[in-house]
Amino acid sequence: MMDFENQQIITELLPRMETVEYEPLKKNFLWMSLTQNAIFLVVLFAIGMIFTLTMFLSTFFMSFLKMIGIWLVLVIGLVLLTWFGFRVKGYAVRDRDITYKTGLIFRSVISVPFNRVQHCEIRKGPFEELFDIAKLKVYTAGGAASDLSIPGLDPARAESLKEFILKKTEEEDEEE
Amino acid sequence: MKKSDTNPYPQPVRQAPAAIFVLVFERFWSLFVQFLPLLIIFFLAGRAQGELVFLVFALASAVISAFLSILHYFRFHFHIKSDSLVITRGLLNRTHSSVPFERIQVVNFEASVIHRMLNVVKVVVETAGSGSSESEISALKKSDAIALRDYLLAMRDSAVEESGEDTELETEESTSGYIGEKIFSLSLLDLIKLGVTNNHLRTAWAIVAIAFYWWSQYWVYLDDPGDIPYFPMLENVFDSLVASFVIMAILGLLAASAVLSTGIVIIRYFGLRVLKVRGGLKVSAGLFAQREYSARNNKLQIFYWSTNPLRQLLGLYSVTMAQASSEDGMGNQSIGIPGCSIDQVSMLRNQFFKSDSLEPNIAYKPDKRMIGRYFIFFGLIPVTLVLLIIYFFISQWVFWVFLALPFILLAIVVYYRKLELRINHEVLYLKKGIIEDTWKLIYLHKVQSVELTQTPYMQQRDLVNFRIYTAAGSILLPYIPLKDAVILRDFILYKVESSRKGWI
Repeated sequence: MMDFENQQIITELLPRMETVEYEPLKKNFLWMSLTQNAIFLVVLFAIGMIFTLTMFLSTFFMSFLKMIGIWLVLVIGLVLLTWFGFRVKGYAVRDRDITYKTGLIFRSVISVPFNRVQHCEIRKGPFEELFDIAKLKVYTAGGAASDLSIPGLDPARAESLKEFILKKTEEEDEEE
Repeated sequence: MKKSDTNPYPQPVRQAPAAIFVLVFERFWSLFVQFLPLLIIFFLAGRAQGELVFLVFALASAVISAFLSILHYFRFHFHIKSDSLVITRGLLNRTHSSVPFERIQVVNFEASVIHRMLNVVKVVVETAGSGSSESEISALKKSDAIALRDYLLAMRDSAVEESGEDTELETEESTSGYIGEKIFSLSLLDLIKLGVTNNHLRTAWAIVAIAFYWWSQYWVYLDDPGDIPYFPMLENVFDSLVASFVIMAILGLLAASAVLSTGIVIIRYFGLRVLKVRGGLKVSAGLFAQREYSARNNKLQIFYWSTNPLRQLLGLYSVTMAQASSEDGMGNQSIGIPGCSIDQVSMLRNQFFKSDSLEPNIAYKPDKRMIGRYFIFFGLIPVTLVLLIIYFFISQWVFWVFLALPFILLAIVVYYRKLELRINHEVLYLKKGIIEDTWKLIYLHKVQSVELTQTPYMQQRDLVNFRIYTAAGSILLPYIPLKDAVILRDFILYKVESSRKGWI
């Protein structure tokens, strides 16, 4: 039963993570992120306006231009980050583990084997509801930092993924 | 063994009568702690008008809580059924909790001062699984408690064997009973040695900070001589006064630190004994409150041992066994043994790791470029910030701050040279440290997840930070080449996924 523990592992023969194809998130996640950014930017704009109107009334026009300038830089930066950040995000499901990669500037790839999954859940906030997407959270015993969460899944896909993972986890438990 | 075959508690019984005192005392103590701020305010404010009201209130709560504690004693019953430990408690809302044998992880004893005066122990039954993970019996006679524990653990083992789990663990050892053989203990002299050789670096930093404060005050005065009357002949006296004061302060603080840490070590680890029991180790220690900890083979996640140069001279190492507390892995339980010889370290390690599991292995080291990057993040940037702060707020004479840079660089180089990860077919082994050296040992199959992260700099140079999460903390190996990291990840995932051994 435990024979394989003594087998020599030739690293070339290991299942390679690099060869997997990452599945992208649902496009609606991008629209949702952009909407959230837009709301944030509008609020920021309003605060900036109030600030400019009250503090720099004497030099209103110049201050207004400066503010608009800073604001536009923020808008472009955030949109670019969100747009390209979305294209980097992706997940891959293999027979025995799940991997999620994210981060445009600071990259991160995290892999969780199914036989270490504690439980998983689907989350839907008001925004997710609006854009018809769901977030899948996979919990391990390694603490919050080691948990894996995939945003922007199609709700049906999230549900089937969750069931797949739970089925895998149960199978592993039975084998043990 | 035979003794533990008969159920010591077939019928519901109460705890030892001493439990009344224990419960009342614990209630009083928690009341006292709650009222402490009020008491302090009263004493500080002198005679307040509300004194009498307060006194009556405090007395009333004391009487009521004593009464409630006594009631609780009479309403608390426990007994052992054929498959579980059953505890019934509660005054009005009766709570029945039953702990199935197979879910029992460990049975620990704890004894506070009051327990020891009455010669009883508190029994804590820890279980695996989420939700309420502990059941407690406040006070039992020591002999009864041992009988209870032996019976529970024997029943647990047979229940577990029946369900066919944990087979690997239970067949490993067949030491008779659970009392176990003593592996080693620490004498008072050992503890004093440990206290004196404690890591005083933190204290040293505090001393440096305080010395710096004094010193900067002094310089500010000199920059602005108008503040103090200037006595030329007194200047030297003043100078030497400050200097001697600083030296005395440093010596005093070092001595205070040594005394303090010796005191803490003695209080925490007085009478430390390590016993070998079935399926793990048992550690008991404590001056005022003697505690007993169990380190079970399957719960152990990371085994650490470390030493500093002072302790290395005396041949002393400290050992930490980081465990997952329950199956949901929330929080972790670490058991520390503050001092043992290198032989004892390997003896302890052999309890959990087969000696051949440390055999030939592949080593991974960070890339050299780590030194430069760490020097920017931990050297240049902080030093520049400190320099700017001092320049603008304290004194213009700041260039001595740069003196810190060589030391920081030295520390980073030492850190880089010591940092190393070794891996073989069963374990992963990390060595790190600057002044204090630490070795960490993990079974590959206990890994929970693997994460690779990259900053933009690392993306361009194909380097990654490699992090491994376990149920009791994570391990980081920074700046390793991407191709090594990918192989490491594939290998560790393969080991985890193909392992039939549980991680808890």
